[in-house]
Amino acid sequence: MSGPYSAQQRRALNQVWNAAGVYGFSPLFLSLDAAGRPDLYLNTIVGCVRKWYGEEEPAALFQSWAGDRRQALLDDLAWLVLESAAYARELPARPLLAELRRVHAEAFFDQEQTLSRQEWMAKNQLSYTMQAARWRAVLGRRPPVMTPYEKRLSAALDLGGSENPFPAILETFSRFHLFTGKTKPPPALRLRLTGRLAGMMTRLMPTEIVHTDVVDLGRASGAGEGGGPAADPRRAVLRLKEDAADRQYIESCFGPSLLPDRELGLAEQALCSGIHLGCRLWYTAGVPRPERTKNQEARRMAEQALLQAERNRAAFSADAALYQNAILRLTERIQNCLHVHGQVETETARRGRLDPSRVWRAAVLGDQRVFQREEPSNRPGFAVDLLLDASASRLHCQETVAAQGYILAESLARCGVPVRVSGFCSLRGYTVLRVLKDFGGRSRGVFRYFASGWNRDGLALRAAGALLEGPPDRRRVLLVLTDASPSDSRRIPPGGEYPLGRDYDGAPAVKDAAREVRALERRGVRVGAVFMGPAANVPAAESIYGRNLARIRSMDQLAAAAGTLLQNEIQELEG
Amino acid sequence: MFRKYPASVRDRGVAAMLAFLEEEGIHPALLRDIQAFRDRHPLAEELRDRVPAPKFHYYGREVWENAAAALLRGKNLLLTGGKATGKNVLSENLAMAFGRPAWNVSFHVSVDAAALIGMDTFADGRVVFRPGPICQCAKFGGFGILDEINMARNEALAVLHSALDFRRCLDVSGYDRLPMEDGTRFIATMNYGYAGTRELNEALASRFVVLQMPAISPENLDRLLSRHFPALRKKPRQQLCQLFFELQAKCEAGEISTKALDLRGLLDALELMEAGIPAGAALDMGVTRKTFDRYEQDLIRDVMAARISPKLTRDQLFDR
Repeated sequence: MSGPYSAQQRRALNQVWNAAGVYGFSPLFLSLDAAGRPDLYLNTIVGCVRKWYGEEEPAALFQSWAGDRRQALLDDLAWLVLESAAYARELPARPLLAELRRVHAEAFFDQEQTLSRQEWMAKNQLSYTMQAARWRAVLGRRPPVMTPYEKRLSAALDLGGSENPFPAILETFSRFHLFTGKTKPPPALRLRLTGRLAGMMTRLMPTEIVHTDVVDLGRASGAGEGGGPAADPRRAVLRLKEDAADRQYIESCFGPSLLPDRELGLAEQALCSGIHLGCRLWYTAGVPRPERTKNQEARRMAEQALLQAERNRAAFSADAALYQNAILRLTERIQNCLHVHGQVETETARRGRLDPSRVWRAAVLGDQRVFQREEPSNRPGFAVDLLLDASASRLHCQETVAAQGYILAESLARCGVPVRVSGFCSLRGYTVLRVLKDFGGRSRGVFRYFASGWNRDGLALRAAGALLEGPPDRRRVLLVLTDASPSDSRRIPPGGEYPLGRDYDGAPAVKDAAREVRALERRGVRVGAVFMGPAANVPAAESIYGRNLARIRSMDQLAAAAGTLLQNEIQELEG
Repeated sequence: MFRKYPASVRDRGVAAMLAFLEEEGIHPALLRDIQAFRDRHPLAEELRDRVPAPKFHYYGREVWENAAAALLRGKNLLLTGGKATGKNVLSENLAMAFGRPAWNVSFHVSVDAAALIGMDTFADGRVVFRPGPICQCAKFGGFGILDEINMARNEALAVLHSALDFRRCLDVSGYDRLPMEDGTRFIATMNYGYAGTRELNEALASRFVVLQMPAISPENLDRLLSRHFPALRKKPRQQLCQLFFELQAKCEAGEISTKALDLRGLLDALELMEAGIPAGAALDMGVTRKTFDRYEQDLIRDVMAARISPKLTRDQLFDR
């Protein structure tokens, strides 16, 4: 298994790590009961297997029959062997293991009373018999009724504290005609549905929608061939109609603009220049309005966005304990940092350094508060903007990004740090900056996060910079979640550095994003980035964000990495 | 900010401390020098109750020898290390072994120069100087234990520079220049890298010799438990030691906070077990509930559940 893990999976993982005495690896198996609770004994055994037999050999063993039609049965039987072997080796160092084993055996038979008919049917009979034999033996009961084959197999599955059980496992499986070394894959079931049936199944079954920008991509290739839209008056009419449709599309998907038309026009005039000429901006804090559009595609996307918000909330609720823990710990870290590096305020006191200008009050009024003392200020002198990449590259982890954004927003809010969370993406030539949680707003707004389209980082940073000019009047920290791979369907128009124009991606897009970061830094904004993306993009991330960069391997590390960046910023800003 | 120690406990402890140092295998020459230091710096009667009487001994011969040698050569000590490495226990052990009164100052962000040196206040209608712990240390030749020194602001600590370097004096602004009594030493502790702590600036760090405190070793933890709980049976004692190191590993991996990595808490839990509380409840009170987050408590209980049966009673844990 690999992250991100749910709260209960994380707990199970901790049980494995604890027994292994090693942290950070992803075990091949985690044990959770039917209710989703971690099984302490089996997870301890998984950890002990890692401790006594290392990582590679067990992985190679399970890999040898991966994909075989009897894989589940072979896994179960192999674990029975490893259980007996690891148990025997660990017992002297962990005497309580005997009691845990007994409790686990009792729980195995207790569950017989609670299993439904379907669950019984799902169980493999041979695997069940072997387990029943093992756990009955642990409890000192008579073995279950078994065939001679099962009796021999059951005996062969108990290797005691073998130092190298792996060859014996393969030999046993071969001897009992369970696995001879060649995998037999199950016959694949593939259905190709079309028409109404396809539509019906799409509604019934889980689907993944990949947001693309087909209309804009088509138009972009046309622009590269000719002299641009303005060269053909007929094209201009078409463009006007397309613009209106695109605007309606964007509005229905992301909600109405934060800015009145005139102000939005002025912002576009000021910001959509240079290599962003012809691009449009959309600042919004609204919710998608599927009912506002007749366009089927736009309606479907807006509905998907609303559905994603529900999924984000549900995913957070399912693992609320884990996330609340993360919030508490991040809050504590930031709070400590603020305390230590906070500014000092001088206040009047009954003792301290004598304040000559107040001495008269002691003599005339009997007021003994004629001294000054220094007290640390609890009011942070900065505000944070968190800018989340909301392009389609984040489609696979939207719930995690939303949860991590919430953790960060809530932790900062609890520390009294004003925080705003926005998502950015580009669609149909519009770079959309969607404020999910404004300063003073509720952190739960972050759950409205969804991913779609492209990411024109340079323009998004420029647009975010314009937002930073507003209140509150404090030092500003901008933290960006990025994959350092800016790309947009809207091409760079001909002119300047690129006389023939070119696609907005690769080195020119990286250079553009880096330029915008430097421009923000010149304005006194502290810019940091949490990078998650392929190793090949690391140089690009470094060239855009310089030293203020934290790389994460899994999205569930976002809040912690942003917290670390923030601690560095606090030390430099306040300390 | 200040801690006093009952005289009866202290008197019993001095002899035990010196015997312990011998037992620990401290080099005889160092032991002789410590005794000579004590002879050179006799203790005034009114300061006797300021000599610490620590409940626990610090185990670790090498650390003891390094620390004692540094103090004998007139150096100030900076003890750095993570939680539960025994920084404070060693500080108090040293003050006791050297027979010096101790002033313990817990540093936090609000500590300023006035809190260390002293401040003006009103008494009988007059502005008078009320000396702080550093002044007291300087005057009486005490050991100043500067706990978590990196929690304070570097500006606040600048007043200590002249006391810590070759000048060995305190210039109290608006009052006298106070020379340090010969026996005065400062022992600072810091947990480097703890969330929110700051780095000591170069000027301050250069005035200390730095001793990196190692985590307590399995052997020394075992000795500590067997010394304080002689009736505790070997098997549960070993499992409790393992439990402590497993919690330490979990902290280092960042899966739980350091709140539950509490050696004092583990010893408290053992005292409760000795008093008849079942192991699970005692560990809950002494260790698990040091953190208030329920998820973290679950992780800690899982570590315990794989080592110690919560139902274990006093009779199963301790010999009669």
